[in-house]
Amino acid sequence: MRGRRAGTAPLTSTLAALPTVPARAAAGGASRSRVKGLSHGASAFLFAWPATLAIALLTGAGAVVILLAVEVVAAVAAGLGGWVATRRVLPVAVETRTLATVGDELTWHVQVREPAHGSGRDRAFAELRVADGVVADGWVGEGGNMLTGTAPRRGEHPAVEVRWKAAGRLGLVWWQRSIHLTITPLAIAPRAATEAATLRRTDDETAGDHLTQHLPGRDQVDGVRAWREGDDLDSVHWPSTLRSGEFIVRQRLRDRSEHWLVHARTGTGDADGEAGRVLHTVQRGFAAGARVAAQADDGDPHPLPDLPAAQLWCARFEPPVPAPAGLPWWRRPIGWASPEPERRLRPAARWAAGAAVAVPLVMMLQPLGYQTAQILTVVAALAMGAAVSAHLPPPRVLLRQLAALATAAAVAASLIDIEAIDGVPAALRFLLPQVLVTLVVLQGFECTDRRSARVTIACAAVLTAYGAGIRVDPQLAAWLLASCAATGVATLAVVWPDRTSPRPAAPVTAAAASVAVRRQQARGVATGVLAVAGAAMAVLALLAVIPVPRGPAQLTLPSWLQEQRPTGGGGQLAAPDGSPLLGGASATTRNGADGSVAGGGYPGFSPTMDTSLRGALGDEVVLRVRSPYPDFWRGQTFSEFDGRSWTVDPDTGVRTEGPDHQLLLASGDVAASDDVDELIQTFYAEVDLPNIVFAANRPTRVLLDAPIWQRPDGALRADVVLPAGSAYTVVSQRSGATAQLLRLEGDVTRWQPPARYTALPASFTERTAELARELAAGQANTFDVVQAIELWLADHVEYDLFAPVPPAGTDAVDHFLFQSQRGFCEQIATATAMMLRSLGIPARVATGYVPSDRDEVAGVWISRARDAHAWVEVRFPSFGWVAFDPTASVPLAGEASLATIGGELVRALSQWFGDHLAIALLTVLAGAVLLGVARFVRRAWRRHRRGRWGVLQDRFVAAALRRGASSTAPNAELAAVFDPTAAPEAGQLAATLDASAFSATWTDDDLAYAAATTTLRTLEHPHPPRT
Amino acid sequence: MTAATASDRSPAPSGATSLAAALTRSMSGVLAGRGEQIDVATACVLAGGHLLVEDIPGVGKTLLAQTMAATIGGSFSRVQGSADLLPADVVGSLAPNADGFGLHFRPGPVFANVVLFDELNRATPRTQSALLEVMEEGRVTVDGTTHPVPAPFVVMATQNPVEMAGTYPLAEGVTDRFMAAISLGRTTAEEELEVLTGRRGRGRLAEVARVVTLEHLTAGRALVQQVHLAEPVAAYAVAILHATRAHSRVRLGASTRGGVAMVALARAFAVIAGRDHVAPHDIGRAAMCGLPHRLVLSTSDRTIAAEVVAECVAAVPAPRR
Repeated sequence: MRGRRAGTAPLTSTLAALPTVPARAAAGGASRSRVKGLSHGASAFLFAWPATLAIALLTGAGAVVILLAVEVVAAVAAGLGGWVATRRVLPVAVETRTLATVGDELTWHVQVREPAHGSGRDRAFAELRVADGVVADGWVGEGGNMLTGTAPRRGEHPAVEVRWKAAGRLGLVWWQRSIHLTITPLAIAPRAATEAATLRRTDDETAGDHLTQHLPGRDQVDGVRAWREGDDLDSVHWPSTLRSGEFIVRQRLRDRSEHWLVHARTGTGDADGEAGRVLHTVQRGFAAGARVAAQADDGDPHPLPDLPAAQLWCARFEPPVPAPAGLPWWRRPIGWASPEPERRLRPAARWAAGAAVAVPLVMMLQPLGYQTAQILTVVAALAMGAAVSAHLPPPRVLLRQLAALATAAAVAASLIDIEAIDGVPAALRFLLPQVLVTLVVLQGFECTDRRSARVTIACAAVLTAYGAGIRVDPQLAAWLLASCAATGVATLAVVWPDRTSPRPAAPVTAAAASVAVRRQQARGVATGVLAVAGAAMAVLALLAVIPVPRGPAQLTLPSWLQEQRPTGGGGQLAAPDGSPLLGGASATTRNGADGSVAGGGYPGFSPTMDTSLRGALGDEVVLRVRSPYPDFWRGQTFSEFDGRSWTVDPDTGVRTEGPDHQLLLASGDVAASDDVDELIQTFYAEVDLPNIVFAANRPTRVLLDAPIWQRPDGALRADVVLPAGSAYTVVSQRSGATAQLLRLEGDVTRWQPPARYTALPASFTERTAELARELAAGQANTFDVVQAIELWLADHVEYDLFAPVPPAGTDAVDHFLFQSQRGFCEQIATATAMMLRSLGIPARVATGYVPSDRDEVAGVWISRARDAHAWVEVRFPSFGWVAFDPTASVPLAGEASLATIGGELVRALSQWFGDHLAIALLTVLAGAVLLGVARFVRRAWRRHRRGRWGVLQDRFVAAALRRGASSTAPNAELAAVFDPTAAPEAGQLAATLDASAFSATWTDDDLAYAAATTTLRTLEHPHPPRT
Repeated sequence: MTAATASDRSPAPSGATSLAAALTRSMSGVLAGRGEQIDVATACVLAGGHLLVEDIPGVGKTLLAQTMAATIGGSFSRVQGSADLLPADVVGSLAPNADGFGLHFRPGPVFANVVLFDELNRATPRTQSALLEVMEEGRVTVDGTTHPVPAPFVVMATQNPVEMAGTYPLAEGVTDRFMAAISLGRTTAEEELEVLTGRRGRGRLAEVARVVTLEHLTAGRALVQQVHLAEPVAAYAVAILHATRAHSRVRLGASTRGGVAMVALARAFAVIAGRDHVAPHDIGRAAMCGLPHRLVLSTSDRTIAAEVVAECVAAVPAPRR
């Protein structure tokens, strides 16, 4: 405008109409958040979820159910994270130029409301829309953000729609909100066309600008103005051009003034083109130095003093027809497109994804029986995939694919044992996991972007479920935790760069900035800890309502033999090494007299059990049994007693070939009614076991890949021994007996039981019978008789593993009851059985294992060698053989109830804390001491580094920041944030601190330091506690 | 900006401080309110710079300058800017000798200790440019001969807002010569009442005593230059200058001359507060009055210049111990 005189009234009014304030939007109401779509590759998680569910259903493993609960909570967190993030980021104002040309690069300044207590890391992907077109997009966070895009179509735009999307920390589900912000109208001028519009030119020699009249001549240089299209290069005023950095030309005034009137036609259907032609003509007019006006059809001429005014006129000329209103929401297409920028994965995120898949792979391969070398091969292959995909530049695709093929082939060769595959079931069992591993390794080489990283992580989730399904060992909890942690870290790492804000300008002074950064970090850590704790609580809460799975589904009753080690056959007992005699690898007690040796070290697992022998039994885990309820895992039953030893029935029973053995109920057992449930147990042998097939009472189905002998006494024997690492599954019927029902049975003696179950040895003494009659006197039913005998034994007999051996020729029961009154379970069980028999009640002794412990994560019962046990079985007419034992904590079948996984976990955790209270307290104490020492050292170091005034300065800054001061403000401004009452002291302190830092004449002074410390203390704690 | 109270631990250059106090007191006796603007004007004079007062007519621009001139003493002259004012009318011109032979230099109104250039932006750019040399170097060159103006030399210019009719925007080179620019703004109701009742205002101008002599002022300026500027504080000033150059809404950031002026102003502020060293908030305060008028913005809206400088000051972390 410089130099061009604004003399006439219309021109001035035009000037006033020109917007000079940058367009600034006012905040309206933001829309509700709604789901926008999934991140790239997030759908892999949708497939991982049913896969995990399937594994849970197929294996019935509690650990997979725990994993499912974790996945549910993670899915909820991933789903709602974006909702929270879109709430925390709220664009409140948009600013840009007021005038631009179509196709110009346009920079938008988006102001985002800062959340009250945000960590400053929330970001959203914003899209600015004007007239239904995207004009700019990019990430916005706290504070001001610059977005760059191209100008929208021609016209005057009074509003901007901001749509912002976020997916939260996990970055899986995108939510979107939008807000309409009104701005100072943004005028978009057309590009000047190449042809001209209709033009009328008039020359007016006399009607010159009145200010030019006193100037002496024509073409006097009057000033300078910005270069316009068409200006001559000769007219450039170089000094001004150099000073301002843009072309400045000399402006000449003419006496003669030329008027151009540009006609624009409306309704041509090409308003944009017409506007462009008008602009072209107007520019030519300016270059010619004419005074230009524009006229739409026959309207009033509108003077155009300069280019911006002309552009504005062209922008406003014949507004484009507004687009029809949007479709109703139910007819709109669903926008599932992810706004997430598809980008190459950062190496750190790639390695995190690799770790997330490596942990479950190791977890899965270990129980499948692979050696360390093979597992290392797989891990090395995964690492190679990560290295190649993270660091090899994208163009080297062929090299990458070759490396992938070679590595996958190596992994497959190392894992797959071709000879073991001899059929479809074997292929399914011995090929499926290996092929899965190979595919995962192969995929690792292609994992270069976020989409494939998420696929990798989803694979990791499925592998974790697989591993959790087949593992029953005590490390399962640790593996599960490690796997979940690795997966979580990888999921976070994949989206990391998008959710961190650009860092503020590099801090010049360390103190204030470090305080602020540390506060932000502390807040971030606190939020993270809270989130993890909340998620753990949510998982536990979810698990609290999920019952322990009832057992593996019928499809996958696990059964495998680590090694085929056949016995002599014929249903005879065999030692764990398969020798047909009664030898045992770990037998420690021998009875030289009859040559019988305990199978598994326990006399109860041999054909003859001397009740006065027990053997030294260790602590090693023998059996892990996946089963919802505890029960007696019965191995043998004995019904013939000679006064010293029990002997097994020589009848070996019926042989079935298997592998799926359908069994009939043994004699004496009663078929259960229909509503009685099944108990599915999977036995995992941890040590070499004899060929006894342990099972809960009333087995109806056994899955074991070897012939089985079902003995008439109810016990099962296989034709192979069970080496460590083998597994088999038994389906038993639950009798449903409860104390109430058993009492209703009444006196079982009135129902003529077979004589062999009431037979007494010749050495049976009268005083034993007398005692039995005494205890039974007054009891109305058999159940109460058994209870009375158990009660008497509990009161009068001491449990003692080193009970004295009865002298030769005496009755063992008599000696135990009346002489030593010390004994172990075999003797207690024998005494009970004999007393019951003397009353005419059918009874026998059974041996086997009882569960003593439970691994709540894997959901298995643990039996150790010392849990080998003997108990009494009493036969009731309606229930068959029912086990009784005063020492074992196994409930009657009908009285067991299903726990929930969450309840079990909480109980296990509280028990762990109860057991390790001292260690936990010591750890906390040591941690506190370490923390104290660390703080002391840090403080001393800071004092050493910063000096005492430096420490004061840091404390002053921290106190001011707590009251909301800006971290970049100088001391005097920091002092202003304190209470008005404390302001003078604060100002004084600030001045002293500044003087200590910046004055040349300042000297340290203890008195001043003491005064400053006092002031600072009152500032830090405005209301000192009364003493 | 808060004015920090004087620390008893930093002995102040009492001479300069009392000089500043006298100037301030004298001006606040005439002007109603405007404490910060009076401080800036005082600092500007103490730092040896020229002052630009920008605002709409009738808020006391001229009165401020006149009071300052009256307080300082020394010679005073006044130029009224208008469209037909020529450079020679300002700096002086050659006139024929009385005998008709030869020419002698007839000094213009700039040959005074305090020059009040009223409505500078009504003068044409040519006339404005005539001030460049005298303001920067304190001398006038006419027809090849250089004539020094008396020292101390203070130019106080007032300016109407650019949007008003019949004005020429000041060239960047001219505005850069002014050490500080202040805008008076509207007074509060109480202050306006004081003016209307005669307790303050032009009527009190006659009572202003020449409390400061030219020698005092010269000595005071020397003391101001000795105020200690610590290295981190100087770095802070540099960082602020860089921030203005990197700001997205600025086309041309503050010049090095702007930085020199800012530091000089900060020294004067320290003296006014009675300190012997420049504190970081002096720099911030100096930036707020010494930088906005120098910036070339990417928009035509001059009113955001102060906002831009405030953003820059807030963005740069202040040095501390």
